[in-house]
Amino acid sequence: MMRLIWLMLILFSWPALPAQDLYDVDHSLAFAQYLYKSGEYRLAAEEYERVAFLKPGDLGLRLQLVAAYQRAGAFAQAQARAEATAPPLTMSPGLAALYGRILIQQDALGEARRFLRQTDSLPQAERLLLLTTTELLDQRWPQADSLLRSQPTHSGAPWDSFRTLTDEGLALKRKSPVLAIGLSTVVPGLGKAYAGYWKDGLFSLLFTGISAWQAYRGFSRNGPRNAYAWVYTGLAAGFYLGNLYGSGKAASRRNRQNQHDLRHRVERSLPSLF
Amino acid sequence: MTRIICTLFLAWSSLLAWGQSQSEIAQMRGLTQAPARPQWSIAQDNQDEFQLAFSGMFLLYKNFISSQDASRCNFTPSCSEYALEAIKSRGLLAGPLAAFDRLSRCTSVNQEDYTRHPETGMLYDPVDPAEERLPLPR
Amino acid sequence: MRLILICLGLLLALIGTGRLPAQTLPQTLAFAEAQLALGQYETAIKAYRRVLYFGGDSVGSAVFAPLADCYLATGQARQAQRYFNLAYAQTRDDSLRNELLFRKVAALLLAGQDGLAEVDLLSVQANTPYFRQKLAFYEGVTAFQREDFDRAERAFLQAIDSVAFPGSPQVVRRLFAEQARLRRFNPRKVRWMSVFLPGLGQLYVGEYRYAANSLLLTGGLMALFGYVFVNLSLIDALFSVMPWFQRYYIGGYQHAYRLAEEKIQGERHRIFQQLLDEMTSQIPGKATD
Repeated sequence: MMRLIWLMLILFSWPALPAQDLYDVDHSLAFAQYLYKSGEYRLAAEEYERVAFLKPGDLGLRLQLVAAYQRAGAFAQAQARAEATAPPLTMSPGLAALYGRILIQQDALGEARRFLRQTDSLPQAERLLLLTTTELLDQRWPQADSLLRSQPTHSGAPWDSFRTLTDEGLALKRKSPVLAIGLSTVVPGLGKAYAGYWKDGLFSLLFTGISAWQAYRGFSRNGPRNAYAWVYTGLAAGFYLGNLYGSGKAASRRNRQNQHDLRHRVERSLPSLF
Repeated sequence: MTRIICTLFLAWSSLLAWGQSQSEIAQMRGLTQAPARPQWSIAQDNQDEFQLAFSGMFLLYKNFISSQDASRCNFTPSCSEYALEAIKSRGLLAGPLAAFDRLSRCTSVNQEDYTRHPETGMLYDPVDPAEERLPLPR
Repeated sequence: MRLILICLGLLLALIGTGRLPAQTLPQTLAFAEAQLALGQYETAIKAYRRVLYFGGDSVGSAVFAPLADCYLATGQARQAQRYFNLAYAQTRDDSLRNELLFRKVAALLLAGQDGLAEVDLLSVQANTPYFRQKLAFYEGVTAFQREDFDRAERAFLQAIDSVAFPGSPQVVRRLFAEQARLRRFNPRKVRWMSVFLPGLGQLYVGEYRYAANSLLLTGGLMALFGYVFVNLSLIDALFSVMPWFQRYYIGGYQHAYRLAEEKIQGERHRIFQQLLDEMTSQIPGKATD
């Protein structure tokens, strides 16, 4: 209620109101830039949308709009606005650089690769950086290696870490789920240890071994008509077969974990992009 | 002018001896909560009699055994929830095997191999690997 | 009534500034107010932020408080506190400052910052019956949250209208007496009861199903221990059954502790809601609010 009174008082007692429209191009642009600078990218994008609508031919504005969406993490909208501004291969250098990054951030790595190979808007160094990033994130180590070899003069960040990561990627040995299962068939838990989860492997061995030992004790003391022994037989069988299943799964998980680690390190070497 | 009207309004309102509006009191209602008892949605939507039977056993276990258990499962979803979900999604052969594998991993010595679930704070190990969030490299 | 006033305000604003195109500063402000009144808080926040950016300090007095209200309504307690503070700093009028303090206290309570709420209440200038009543209400709520129930009772007794509602003090006293009786469900006491006899603590807090559950489960495991001991060996019984017995015996009394905590939480929730019901029933002209 008091707010209403306040409002009416302000409306009537505003003595020297300038005839300004807060939603015109200049005001909206100023407000959008303020929001962008204060890190409120989602709200800034909404303002830029209004300004871009009022000034459809202003490409600089379009670029700011795309950048606001990108900073807000709305990559799909950023991509759509960039493509609505110009077809990818005719984009200005600024927009093309932003577009390449948006595709990479969206994980549209195939699309990014095609665009970066075909575009001639970008300076060679920028194009190579984004293309190498794309190959690294896609874990295409030989392709990344050949790109890096074609540019032996590039050094420092992030090129040095790119080279290290590529070497590690090329040297990475894939864990075989079949071999992991095979190993665990012979010794319970060995397949998990092979996949790098040795603690899980040890517990698989313990769980299976203790259950089997209890079953053996039950049978050897009381013969085959003993419930105690049969319960432990069931448990031993469950743990043994579960260990085979888990070993195959552990090998697959290790492969995913290795890829995940490398990808994360690629991202970490490019703080400006991620 | 503004100040005069405002002061008059406040002087009038101050004559009242009651301060709260209904919405103001209603806003305070959220300050206390009744204790929430767990709901196990995984035991719903059973496709066949086997799933129904396993869901029944799961509910029986949760209500009468797990509630009395001193040791807490290290994972989210818990081992029993994982077992039921695995049986429902992987079938009667692979499901129990996945459950036994999970039981053998529920040891709390392998914490570095998992990320924490944001809500429960427990180690996150979903049945579907696609939902898993792998830990970051050290 | 409120909507009519807003529409009237908007109409007058449009007449007053008829020569201007729509979307001037006052009209944006009026739009923000209308959105706030309609409960469209996100839209209102955007409009208020715009007014604040273009109007600068001169509009602060009209924007800070309602903007804070919008943030409060959307659960953004930190932002709400920030703008209530700004509104408070801009206001010299004691009555307005009191209102702002109460709203800030509500924001602090909802954000779980009871201690800060208590401190802010000390700044209220309760110089009229209106503010004394309102202060008593917020003191009551804050003290209840801080589990200072004696002070909460005194505050709620001050907050209610015992002249128009002579039965009300009795209701408040009864509710706080019920709260005091919750002490008998001391979780540590309940836990010890279940240590002595599995299920006894659960029985005491009224959880009969869990009481039977605990007694049967631990009793069953004890019987199994005896069976394995007699039919197999002590080692088998110790190795196979004892860990399970220990697990569910300990789990039983831990569960009793949690049930006692839940009992207190549930009862306290009921009592607090009934106190608010009592306050609500006394609002003058409640039906039209």
